[in-house]
Amino acid sequence: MRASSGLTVVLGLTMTLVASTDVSAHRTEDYLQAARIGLEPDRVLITLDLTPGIDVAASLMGALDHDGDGALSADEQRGYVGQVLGALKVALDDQPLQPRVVSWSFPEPSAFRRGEGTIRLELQAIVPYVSAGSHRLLFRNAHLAGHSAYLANALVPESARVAVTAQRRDRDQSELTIEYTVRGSAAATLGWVLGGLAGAFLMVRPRTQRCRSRASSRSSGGFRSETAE
Amino acid sequence: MRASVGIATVACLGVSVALAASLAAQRSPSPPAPTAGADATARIVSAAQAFLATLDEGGRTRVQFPFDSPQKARWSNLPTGAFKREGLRMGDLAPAQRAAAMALLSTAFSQEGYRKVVEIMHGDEVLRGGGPGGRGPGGGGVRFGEDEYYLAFLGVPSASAPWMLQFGGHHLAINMTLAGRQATLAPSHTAAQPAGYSFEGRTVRPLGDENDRAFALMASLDDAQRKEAILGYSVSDLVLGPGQDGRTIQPEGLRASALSASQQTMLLDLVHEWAGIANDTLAAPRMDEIRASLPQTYFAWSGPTTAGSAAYFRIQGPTLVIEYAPQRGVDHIHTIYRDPTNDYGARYARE
Repeated sequence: MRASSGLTVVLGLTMTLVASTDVSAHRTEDYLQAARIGLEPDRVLITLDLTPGIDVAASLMGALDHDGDGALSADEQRGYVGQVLGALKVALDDQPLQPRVVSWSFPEPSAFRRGEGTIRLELQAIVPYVSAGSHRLLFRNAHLAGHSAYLANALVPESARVAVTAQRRDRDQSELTIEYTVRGSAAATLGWVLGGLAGAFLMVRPRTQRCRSRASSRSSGGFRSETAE
Repeated sequence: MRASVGIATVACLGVSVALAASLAAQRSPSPPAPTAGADATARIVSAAQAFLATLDEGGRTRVQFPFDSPQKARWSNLPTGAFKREGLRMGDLAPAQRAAAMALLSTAFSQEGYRKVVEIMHGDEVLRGGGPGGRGPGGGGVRFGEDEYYLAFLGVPSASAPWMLQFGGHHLAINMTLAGRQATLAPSHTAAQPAGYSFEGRTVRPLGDENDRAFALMASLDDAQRKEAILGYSVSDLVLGPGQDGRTIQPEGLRASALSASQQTMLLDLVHEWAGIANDTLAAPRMDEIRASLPQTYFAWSGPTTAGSAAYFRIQGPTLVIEYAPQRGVDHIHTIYRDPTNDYGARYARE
């Protein structure tokens, strides 16, 4: 977070010096950060597309290109990805999740400088155990707040066991809460059904046997008594 | 600039006969016959073959890609220089070749669709520097203008086998997949900057109908409907724009089942601004499909509801996603049209 705050200061200072050059007629002075969030029963998948406008890109490049060679090396990219990750908060049912970076890609430096390149981060957070029922995922992106425009959306879940029931956002979409439900898996359901049937069988069997014994004794006794009488 | 507009004028004149024939075929008041789709595709194939016949071998090689080529997804809202396109560049074509290319587009698209495409291209010419609001040649190798649009075929134009007609440049990407009597435009991107300009004494608004129909629909909603439709947050860009193939976001907003019959008609007319870019005969079954799933379709709005404001809207159903996203004002608009079940004709390939 400290690095991110420093980056914000650098951006703030630098952007006042950069004239708005609407060369491409596209995004200029803001930083579009779009999160698309996939929910699976056992994981949360986040795709984060970061598109700095031309003014932001110039400042960002200046702040990240430590060796000044005009490109972002793997280490410089890794450092920036770490800063972005540090500015995210992801929590499931109020319990923090730790997303890890599955992959990332940076655009060509020229496209980046023109404000027309997108940095893409693929993140994943494993959820050890999610019970069947209702859940709430919080996603908050505080990376370069004040310079950014945010988008945050839940994707339609690929698993039929997961259903999104509501999405709530703050005004600028830097925060999204997804409410969703998880159904028990077919295997788990089958297990529960079989377990339930077995339990019911075990519970019912002695009763049945007792009933049979009683009935048998009653009937036999009766017959006996009847026959005996 | 003059030369370029002149070429466009010649191209437009050159296609007038083809366009008139196409329109006559499309304006039939009765529903399309079952074979109409196949006939429409056959006409498009003929126009494609006529265009190919104007090219030399090098040109044919450059315009032709395998059907499953990565070229399929190689489109963007960005101008030339910021994004590298493949295929044949309009500015590299001789007048007769360019006229044949435009004749193909006028056959493949409806009258309104063709108008929209030409007006978007001309708007880019204005952006290049030929009119008020022009930005000159651009920096960093970025280029604007009517010459900077590219045509490509994926697969061989055929009346029965799947193939794709791809046409695009800055603020435009039409990906039309045809398979016999079926066709889809998904995914396609239309955009405009400037959103309005003067041309030959009239005001041109390439995406004006989209804007006006959406505001009219919004104005027709009662308070309860508005409450459902209006998203409580700002949306600054397309959520499912270029590069977002294969994703489907969770729908939000007002369900079309909560609209009156007249409001549903307004919504369908709005959808038609995108689906109806295709030749009327090919668009008709697509509109039937969208109409059939209207009860599961949502209309969402973000921004002011006063006409003339910059507001985002989204229409999303089981087979449809449309987004309209002003870019920090009313003079720069991006839109996207998708079918999550049939982008690039994926359904035709399965069938």
